[in-house]
Amino acid sequence: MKRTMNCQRTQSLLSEYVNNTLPGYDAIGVQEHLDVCNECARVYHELRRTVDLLSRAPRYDVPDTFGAELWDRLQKVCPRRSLWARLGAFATAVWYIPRWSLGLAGAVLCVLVACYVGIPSADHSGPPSDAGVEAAMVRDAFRQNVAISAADPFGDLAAANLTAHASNSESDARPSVE
Amino acid sequence: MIAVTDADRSLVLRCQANDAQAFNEIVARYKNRVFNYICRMVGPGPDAEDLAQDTFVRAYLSIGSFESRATLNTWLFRIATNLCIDYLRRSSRAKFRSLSRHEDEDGEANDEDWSIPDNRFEPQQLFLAKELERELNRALMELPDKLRTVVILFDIEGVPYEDIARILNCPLGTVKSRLFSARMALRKRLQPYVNGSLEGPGYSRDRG
Repeated sequence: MKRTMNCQRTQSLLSEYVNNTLPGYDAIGVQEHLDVCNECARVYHELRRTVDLLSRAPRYDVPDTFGAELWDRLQKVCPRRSLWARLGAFATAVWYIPRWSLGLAGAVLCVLVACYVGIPSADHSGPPSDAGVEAAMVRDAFRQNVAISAADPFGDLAAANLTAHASNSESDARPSVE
Repeated sequence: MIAVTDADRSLVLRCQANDAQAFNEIVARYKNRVFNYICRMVGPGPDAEDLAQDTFVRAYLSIGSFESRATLNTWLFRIATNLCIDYLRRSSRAKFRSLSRHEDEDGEANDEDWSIPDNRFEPQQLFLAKELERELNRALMELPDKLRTVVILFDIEGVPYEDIARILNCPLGTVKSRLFSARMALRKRLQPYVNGSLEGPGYSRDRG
């Protein structure tokens, strides 16, 4: 003869029955008892509504300042750790900078310094002006041409004239003996 | 329920490597659950906020020794539970504070609302919702600490039996037994709301 579950046993299983976590045999026994027992059925329905209320309990909002206040407390509790964390982060950042770029940056810096210092000049009066340099170059070229041309008085009449002009210009520059 | 993911393990490893941003992410991920759990355990108010912050401070200080045997979820809940139990033992039951007001240190009433989202309901329903919330909190606070812990974790926070057993370091059968006792006690305490004589948001005659 099949024995039905009694009220005490049934009610002790109602919590798991609400969760649907009872083994099959026990779940059938509870259901059969609830079908015939109004008191246990009432308890079951009230229990389900209680669980329903709990599952729908409103959520509290976390205060907006929670995060900031938490970090303030962490800073006070472990400032050394935060310093190490910062140093660690710095070291990590430096580690991942390519070494070749550090070397290149150093080389560029050295070149810039060298260019700024510059090569020392023999003329302490300062570098010659561009106009003066050009005039000296023209004068030297002129004299060179004149010298070459003067080797063959019959080869270049212009050179002969130039020779004459060159001689005259030089004599004009010298003070007259007479 | 937040499922255990590789993301949690990754966050822990990064924290253990002094990655502050990883801990930021842990706080962002779990602060709501931890805060709500503690509010239900000790009552909403500034003390609950302090305890929630204490939870994360402790987690921060001891995350170096965290082992992956436990999930981040159960670990944080364990820390929070221990802090709540200590708090409740020190102060002979935290003073229950209503949802719409709490008292500051001078005992003056403060109209700060501890934030029930009230934009879902009509005014009458809102009143009933707040009344129900007050009664629910009172009923929870009247439970013994061991029973209250289990029913909050299971029915409000959705933590499975096995995780609750790890959090409380007790057998699975004990968890089920305490849950049963807590629910039956709450059923009696909330009779007007569960026997159909009072209606409110979240309760319907048609259910059950």
